[in-house]
Amino acid sequence: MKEILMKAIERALEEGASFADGRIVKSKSEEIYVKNGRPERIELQEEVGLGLRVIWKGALGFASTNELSPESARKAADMAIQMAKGAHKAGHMEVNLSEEEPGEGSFKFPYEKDPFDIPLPDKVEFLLECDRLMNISDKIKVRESVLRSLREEKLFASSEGGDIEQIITLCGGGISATAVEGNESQQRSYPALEGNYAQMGWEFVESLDLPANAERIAMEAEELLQAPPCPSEERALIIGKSMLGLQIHESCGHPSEADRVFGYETSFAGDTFLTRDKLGNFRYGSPLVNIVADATLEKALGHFEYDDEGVRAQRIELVKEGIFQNYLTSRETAYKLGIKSGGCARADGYRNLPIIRMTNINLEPGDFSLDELIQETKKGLLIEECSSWSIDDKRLNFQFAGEIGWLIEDGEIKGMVKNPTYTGITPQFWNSLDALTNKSTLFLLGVPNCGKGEPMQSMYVGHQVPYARFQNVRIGVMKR
Amino acid sequence: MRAKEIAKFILDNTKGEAQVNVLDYSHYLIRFTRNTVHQSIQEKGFYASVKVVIDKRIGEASSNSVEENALKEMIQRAEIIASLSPPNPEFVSLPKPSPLRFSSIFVEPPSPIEASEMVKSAIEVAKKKGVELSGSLACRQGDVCVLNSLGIDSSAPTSEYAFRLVATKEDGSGFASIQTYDWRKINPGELAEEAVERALMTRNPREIEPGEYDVVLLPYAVDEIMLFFGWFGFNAQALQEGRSFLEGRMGEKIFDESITLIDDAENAQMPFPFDWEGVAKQKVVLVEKGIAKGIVYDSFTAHKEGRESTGHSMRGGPFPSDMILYPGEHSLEELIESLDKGILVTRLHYTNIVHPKLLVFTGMTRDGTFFVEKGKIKYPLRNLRFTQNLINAFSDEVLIGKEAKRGDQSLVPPIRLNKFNFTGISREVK
Repeated sequence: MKEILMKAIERALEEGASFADGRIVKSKSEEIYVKNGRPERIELQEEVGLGLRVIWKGALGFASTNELSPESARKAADMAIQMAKGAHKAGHMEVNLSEEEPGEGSFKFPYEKDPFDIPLPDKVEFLLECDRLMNISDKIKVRESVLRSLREEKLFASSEGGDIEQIITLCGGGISATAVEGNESQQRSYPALEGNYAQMGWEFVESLDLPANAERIAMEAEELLQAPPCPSEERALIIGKSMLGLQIHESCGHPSEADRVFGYETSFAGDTFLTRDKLGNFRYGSPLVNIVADATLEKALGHFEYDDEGVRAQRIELVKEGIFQNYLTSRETAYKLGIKSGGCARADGYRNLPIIRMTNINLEPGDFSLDELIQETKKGLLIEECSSWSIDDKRLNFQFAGEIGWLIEDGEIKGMVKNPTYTGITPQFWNSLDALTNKSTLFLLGVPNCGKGEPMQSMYVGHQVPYARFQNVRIGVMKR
Repeated sequence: MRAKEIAKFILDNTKGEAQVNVLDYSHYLIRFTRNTVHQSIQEKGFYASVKVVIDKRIGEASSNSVEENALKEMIQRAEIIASLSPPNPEFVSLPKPSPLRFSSIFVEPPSPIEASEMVKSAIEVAKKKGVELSGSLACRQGDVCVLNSLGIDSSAPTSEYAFRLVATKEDGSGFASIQTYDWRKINPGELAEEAVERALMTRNPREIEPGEYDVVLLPYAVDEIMLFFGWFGFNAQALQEGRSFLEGRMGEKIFDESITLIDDAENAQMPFPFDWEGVAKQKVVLVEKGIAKGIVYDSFTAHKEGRESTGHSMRGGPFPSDMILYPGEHSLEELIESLDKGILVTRLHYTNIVHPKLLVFTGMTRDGTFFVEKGKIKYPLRNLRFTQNLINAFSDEVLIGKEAKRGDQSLVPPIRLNKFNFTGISREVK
């Protein structure tokens, strides 16, 4: 395979490219999806192909092919050059890459039990058992259980001498119950909506203990049908688990992507309020807010040794003591910023151009236990699992919702509310953070399907979060 | 067509009941920002999948290889999965053949250089007005083939071209886009003019107090709303699972009588004749003069009710992907003139469902939001957040425009809705 990749790179250089790098990616993914007691979909997908990026007279071109032969590699190189020529003709953006040490090495990320070795009938029966446990009443109309496994073998080479092989395995899953009565429908999921995932083997699925939580979430979904609605007012908000993971993902991760600063996403997902003049001086959050992008965090979905430009994985402070410090960068955006790349360029499979992606965007913990945090909250709302999210094209105005809310009165949880929503403006919201729970409460969320770019690329990213409390948050934003 | 030859090879080598999907495609895309091209990519790809059914045990596998050995391995994987899976007791059969009602329209793509010229001419328009243009030109074409062991034999070429523009000038931004099967229908200069004009109009936006306002939504915004009707309403899976707002309301008046909504792939300006299962797409009346009339089915949901698929399989379930909201008699100007105090919305951004059964959704306005008073556009507005119950919005009086435009999932005109609930503003950081 290496020879074919080098053939493509050599051809691009022969045709006048000043730079070329490429990847051959072989992937295998399995999905087992059980719905309402029946196997809805059991599928194994396999694909392999080559993607090549070139710089020709300062213009960037990219082409991919699913056929791996010297001839198809040559054609892909010619097409990448042709695409660069097209960009050149239309008026291209001059592309320069930050200087980096070419990466080398072979890496296989460890796991204990290969998820592809677990017999299929065992996996299906495991989900059917979860399904049976959620089937507690006629009001539970939809029961869903899913397991997903992915293995990606990536070979990277560049005209600068990069030569990297990485094999990544990830797996996980989740369960969900939807209760319906009249005009009301309520969904509860575990461990998060669409599940949770890690760079681990089957041992991660075992650690989730889905069956032990199946009956509980079904009961909660049913109870929510009769629960009072979330009040519409200002309260302290405590969020954790997937709710806080999503809050960081949308209001810190995406706005920190340097390609948004330079307008690469203007016409699609939008830009960012974190403009260059704010770098190093903008008060993003309260002094308690420390957010890092940590690609070195093992077992988290955004972990790797080298990104898809061959840049070494790093731990970068995005926000330190509340001040915005760094962007997530690629080689191209790092050059524009006059810095080294932060190693955040990744591509979805072989067929896509590497673009800036989150790695593991983590909120550093504080000192409180969760019990202490609740006890010290006079009037609050606790949300752990997210259900809905929306944010504007500058990543300022957001509105999120959880599956279940717990009202806190005088330091005690007083009962559940349905349809808990909250809204805010990103920096004001993060500046209202006044307490964080400690290390022992950290939750590692694996998001396997973060969407970005055109054509839409799906990427696996991680978020490690404690619980955080925010003051004076507007909750209960829903007109029936 | 290579797609059909390979699909036939897969089917011939598969035992028992089976469905084969093949897509042989080539895409390219040019993205540009602030008047320069920053991404120019091409993808030559292939996708084959096989669904094997053995005594109601179903296994699926896919591959992107055209090699016979790889395809045989794919078939073997699907057969092994099927043999190891428990039966799906609700599965009746794969769909049976039905004649296709119409053909797709295929137009050969422009060369990458021709596509670059289109981008360049749009950018030139912006440059002349001192405006920055960002956007993308996507050219997608391929051959699609679906075969099954019961005789489904559907194949067609497809072409799809999308040109999206966001023009920016200082704090103003304007949007324009077109989606078509024929790139020659795209007038880059005209589209750029639309986006540029809107960008110039939206400079120095003002804030408005959130609350209920009557709105006129351009087709870009209406198209996004149709997505929610499709996912959470007019599909058999949502109804059978009790998740649809239509539950128990078929035959009832659910919307204003001005609303007639159909799904008609033949006439929604992106004609493609069959669905994921190879079943001919049927015309389905969803709402007629405000009364809920129908929903769309794939074979699984259809068989549960002892009926035939309407040709709307989207793999994970049925979906009406070619909705047409019947146009009314009002020009856009008349719709705007009808607003005493309201808001003109160009497009919606990052929408999401808040309550599926009540059809409450949230999102932001974007790239052209204006305050209208006594029928006149007064000034641009900062982007607003809305949180709105769509059933309520469409059951009140709705005025329908007469000029429809094809969007991502529908062919829709502009509309006027009453009392749209705005719940927040996107504020600049002070």
